[in-house]
Amino acid sequence: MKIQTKYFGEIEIEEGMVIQFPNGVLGFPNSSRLVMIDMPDNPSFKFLQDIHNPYVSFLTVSPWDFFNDYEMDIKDEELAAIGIAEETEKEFSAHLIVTLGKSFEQSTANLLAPIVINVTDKLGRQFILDGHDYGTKHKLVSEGSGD
Amino acid sequence: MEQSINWSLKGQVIDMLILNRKIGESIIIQDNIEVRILEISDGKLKIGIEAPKNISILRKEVFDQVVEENKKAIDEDHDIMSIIPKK
Repeated sequence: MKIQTKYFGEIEIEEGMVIQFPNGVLGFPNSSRLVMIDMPDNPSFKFLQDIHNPYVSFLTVSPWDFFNDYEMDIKDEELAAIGIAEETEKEFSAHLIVTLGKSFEQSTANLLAPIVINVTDKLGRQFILDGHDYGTKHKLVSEGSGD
Repeated sequence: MEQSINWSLKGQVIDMLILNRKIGESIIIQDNIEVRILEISDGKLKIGIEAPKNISILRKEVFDQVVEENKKAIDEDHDIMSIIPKK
């Protein structure tokens, strides 16, 4: 099927790529069907694109590509909402939403509210972590870092 | 005693169910969520919530902060491709 995207115009995707977000994304309750689109030239970044609304496209990173000691403590009962349970062997992935600044150094990631996807069943949800000291704006590049 | 009125909060009109409760009294939501008034002092209200573990309970300002950041994240007008370094 063809979808309109924010950054890549019209692209062709397979139905099997669509991830269901039964609750939408926080602030976007109607964004319930999204796809992951790889960022060209940098595998750390992916777009989470709403297949029905081109404007809704989140730039995301894998947490551990930038924050080595990132911890996500989510209650089993909440993970069960996307079909992840202790005794089942589901593949899952985690993604942080990036807010770009004028430069890469000024860009931040939201560590407080990761997106978790049950890759096996194509189900996703944005969780708000409790009990961590994370905020919504952590610089991707630590200050003074030479990278 | 209950009433449903249009309540104006910070200029935003919302339709809200309003109940009067005394200290120690509760309300039940959907048969299995109990919200109890524990203490009132200095303009602060302490409430206790008993709910199944799959129910997410948040302070609204934390929720609002995430919603605001999500909106900001997609409302950028930068040239993404030139900002993200190539690898």
